[in-house]
Amino acid sequence: MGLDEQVYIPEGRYIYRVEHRIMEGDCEYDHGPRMVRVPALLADRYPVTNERFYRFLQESGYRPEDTRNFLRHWEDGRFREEDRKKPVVWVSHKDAKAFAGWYGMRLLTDYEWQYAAGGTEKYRYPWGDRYDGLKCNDTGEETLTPVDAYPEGASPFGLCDLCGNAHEWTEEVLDDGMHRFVLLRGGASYRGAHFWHAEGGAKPNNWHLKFQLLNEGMNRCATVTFRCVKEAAE
Amino acid sequence: MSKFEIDNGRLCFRFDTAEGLCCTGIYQKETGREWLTEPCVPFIFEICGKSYPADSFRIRKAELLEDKRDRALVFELYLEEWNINVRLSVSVREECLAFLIQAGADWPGTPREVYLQIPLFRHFPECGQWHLSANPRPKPDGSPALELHEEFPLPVCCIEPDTGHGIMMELPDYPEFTGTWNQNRNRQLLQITNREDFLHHNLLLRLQNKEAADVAEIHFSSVTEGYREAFFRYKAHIRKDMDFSMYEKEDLKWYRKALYHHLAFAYSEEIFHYDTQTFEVDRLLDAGEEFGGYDILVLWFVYPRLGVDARKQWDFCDDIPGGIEGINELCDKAHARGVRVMLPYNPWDAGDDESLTDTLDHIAGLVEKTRIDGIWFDTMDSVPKGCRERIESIRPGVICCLEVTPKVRRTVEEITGSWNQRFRMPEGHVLRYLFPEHAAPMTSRWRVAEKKDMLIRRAVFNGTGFAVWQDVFGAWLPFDKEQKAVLKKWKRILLANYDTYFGKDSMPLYPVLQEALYVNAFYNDSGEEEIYSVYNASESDVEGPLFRIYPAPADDTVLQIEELWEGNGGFSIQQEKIVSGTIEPEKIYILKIKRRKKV
Repeated sequence: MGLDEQVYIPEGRYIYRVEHRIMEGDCEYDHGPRMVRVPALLADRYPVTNERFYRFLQESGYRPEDTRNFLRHWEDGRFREEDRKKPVVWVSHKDAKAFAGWYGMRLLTDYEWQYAAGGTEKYRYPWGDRYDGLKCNDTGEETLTPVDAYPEGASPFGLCDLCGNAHEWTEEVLDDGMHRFVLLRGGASYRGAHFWHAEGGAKPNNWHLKFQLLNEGMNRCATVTFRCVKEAAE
Repeated sequence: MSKFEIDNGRLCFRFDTAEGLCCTGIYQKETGREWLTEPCVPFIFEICGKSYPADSFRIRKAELLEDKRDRALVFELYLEEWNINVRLSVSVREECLAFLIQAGADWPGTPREVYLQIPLFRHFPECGQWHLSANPRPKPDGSPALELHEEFPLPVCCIEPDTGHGIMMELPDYPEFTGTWNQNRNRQLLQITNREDFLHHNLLLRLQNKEAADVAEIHFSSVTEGYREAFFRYKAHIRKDMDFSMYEKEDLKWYRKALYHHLAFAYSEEIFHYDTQTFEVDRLLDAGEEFGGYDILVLWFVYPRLGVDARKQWDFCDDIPGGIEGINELCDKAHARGVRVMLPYNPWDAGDDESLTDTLDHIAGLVEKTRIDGIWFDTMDSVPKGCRERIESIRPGVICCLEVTPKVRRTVEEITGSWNQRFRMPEGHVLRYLFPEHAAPMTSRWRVAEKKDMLIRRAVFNGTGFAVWQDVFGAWLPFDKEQKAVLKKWKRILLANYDTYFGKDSMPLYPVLQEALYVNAFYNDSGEEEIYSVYNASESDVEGPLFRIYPAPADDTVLQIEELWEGNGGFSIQQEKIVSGTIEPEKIYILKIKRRKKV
């Protein structure tokens, strides 16, 4: 089974509701409950790996205009061998969109991601309603694991590595008139030590993190990856 | 001999030991006034529900001690039933009589709870108005009309409003140890906020020691010119042993006139242009002109982004637009317009493995690499040890600004500015008046609409600068056009009258002649000018006499009065130097009075 394969997600509707810590800075978004419709999708089973992103660069010749922190963890223009199967990080939302666009895909929207993770059962975690630290990378550290390291953590639709390990970019750039931000999904293994730090750790499916955009050097992080999707014919 | 007395020239304590220890008088020599309406015991102990007044103790010794420098009247007492020793002494100090109660117990069996009362206060004249330390003057709802500070407790005063005669009581305290581990229980008295509770206090002592140890100490002094005299005497005492040399340093003086700060949230279009990916300083400063112009920018790029990954605040300095060079370009643009720049330091972002040395190295490195003018210490009421010196050794003139009001005396001496983040009226912070040289602009990030109006009024009423904060880490809470105009007007007045507002003498809760009024007073060091900010906390007009001017002008001096805020010409100074006029509800008036020699 390749790490770039896709799984089919049938069309569905569900009552969308997101809960998360909202401290200073707010989160200008409708957190529900509201009914949403998810079209039928073909979604990446795994987050995009370093190997896959490397292949993208080879094929597309993509080079961001602002290279600050771009693939900062790579050496001499290539991933380290031990990172081959790990989710690609140090990529901005723009980088992720460029990848998806090259392959005729896009990122999951915030509400699509939740459906893809919880299934029609609307599980609280991809594997069920109870947290299980053995089914995701949730060590508190920034260290990542291969995207297929936790097969038992798969969602009802078969998507893997949704919870913990690395946050995932979602599709939309939201603009509240004064700020632009993107919602991150799934949480990450890394957890800042203080309550003033942004929330980290593996998170339930009905959680997102407001990520305020700045320049690309700030938008690229050691803990943020992405996966792609495209709408499927019924 | 059973009668004893001791005085300091202004005040005299009298005792009689004929039938047990009794305080027979607290006599104010300058006014010929007796402040004890009837003799009473100087203390009462309560043990296991039973009262033991001082006159039930056996007097072991009563003597007046004297040496080359000091004089003290000392009574040594003994309570046989519980084996308790008490020493009551009254010592002459420079401006006061120090009334000290010490106690020790050699308990028969296990120690018991002991409560102490000092009944003297209950026998002060009814006409005396009480100014408690924790509530020198209440607001209409009973809460204190002044923000107070544990390290600098105000005196307790009982003053007759009509004459200004009264007694001032300072209670030495060790606020860093406010729990029961502090043997001296003055703190309990200092924390009481209403008169009845104060008069009927009951102090729980920690009496496990055999030797007599300090349990309560009150420095009594005479007041003849009202609460104003008491406040300034207390202020002088507070400042006497402090070192203000940091405030006098030439290279830091710019900070004192940097009245308007601005917190610029880097992720906001207020300063950041998403398309060009640059900070647009000039645009921000142009917008700031509507407020009267910013003097300092705090560029905030840390919270709430820190924590998404393990990057630290120092890494962000490299990663924000332009990195360090970008920060320097921003500084240059701001400097070209006379505006200074501060960057934040977030102590909570330090990992467990970051030592003090690491922290200082990071801060020093930032100062070294950039042309910033200061560090804004997020969440902090002090700076890391050695930080200021380290900064100074790199570039003198770089200031430290605390987010939180300094907690201890040492910090007030060392760090010359902080933000005051409260918004209620009419109270300002007592530190504004004790240390006018300490820059403390007012701000309150979450307040909107009329609460923003209140915040502005608070700055005007208390004569402070302002920190404009519109983008609260991603929540946009702008000031409206009128609020901006008011702030612009206020900055102009504050600057035009800077030497008066920030002279060495200013006082909150200036004595007034009508209940609904609150007045703060600011004196120019020249003695030729003073400003009274007047606020009517009631819902109806206050008319007629407002307050009396002190000090009374000399015969060859004329007084001129001008109202600066509302442009109201209806104020006058009448006989006995009483300022009169009409004060509309919830409005502020700034009354400037000039003292001019008659030609």
